[in-house]
Amino acid sequence: MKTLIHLSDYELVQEFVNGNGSSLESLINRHRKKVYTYILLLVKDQHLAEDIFQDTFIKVLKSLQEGRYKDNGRFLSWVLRIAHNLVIDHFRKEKQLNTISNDSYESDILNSRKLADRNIEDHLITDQITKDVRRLIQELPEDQKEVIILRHYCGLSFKEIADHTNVSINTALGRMRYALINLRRLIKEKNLVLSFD
Amino acid sequence: MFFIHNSLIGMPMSKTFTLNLTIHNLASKSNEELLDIDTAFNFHEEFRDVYDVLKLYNFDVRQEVVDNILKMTTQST
Repeated sequence: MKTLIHLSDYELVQEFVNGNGSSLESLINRHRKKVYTYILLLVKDQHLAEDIFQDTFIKVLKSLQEGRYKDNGRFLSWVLRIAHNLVIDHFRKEKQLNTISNDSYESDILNSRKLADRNIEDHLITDQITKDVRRLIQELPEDQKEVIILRHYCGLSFKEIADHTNVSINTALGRMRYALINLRRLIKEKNLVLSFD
Repeated sequence: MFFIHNSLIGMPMSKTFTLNLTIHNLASKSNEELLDIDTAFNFHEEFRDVYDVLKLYNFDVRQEVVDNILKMTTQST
């Protein structure tokens, strides 16, 4: 008898559909960091990212309950697609694509629980590093930014990225390489020191 | 099966050219073969310095948010 943690995404979905509510918790815990980081990199606001994270999994929950999820071995990719659509919906509604305040984001990061246990100096260093890395990623062209997020932060395969972005695997691989080359150049140009040491 | 034009034989292969040859016709590969391709093209060795920077951006959603979702799950089932 396998424990939930050893089940595949598909098996956990089946467990949930068959009435085992705790399998959803396992699914969320398995993918929470990837989904949250994906959303956070798109919206740049902690509270908004949390709202969209919650809405994403509520939608996942409903789709599973209504039998609208057809597994093709890509549960995470499907969840990220839902999250992506909700982010787009949000920006459409609020018409604030270019008006997100960095100040509120930075303040949010300082107040986040993750940083709460560190001292003030560490807070400031962490906050600066976080902002620097985020800015680096934001400076990439959209197509390269997307592939870096999906590959590095979400762990999708290049095949999944190709499907997700409607391009060939060849193109996805090329974008990844260009993104990494550009990031290296940006780090060098800005002479960034991104370390706690 | 790759087709290499006669005029290319004897020419030194650039990395890009080699890459293009290697990933030619990926659509016909099985999932297992595609996983191998992912391993082959993970870029980690060549771009270790960049990955070290990317790794510094690392967040997790607050547990309260997850608990809230799970509470809604309980209510809806």
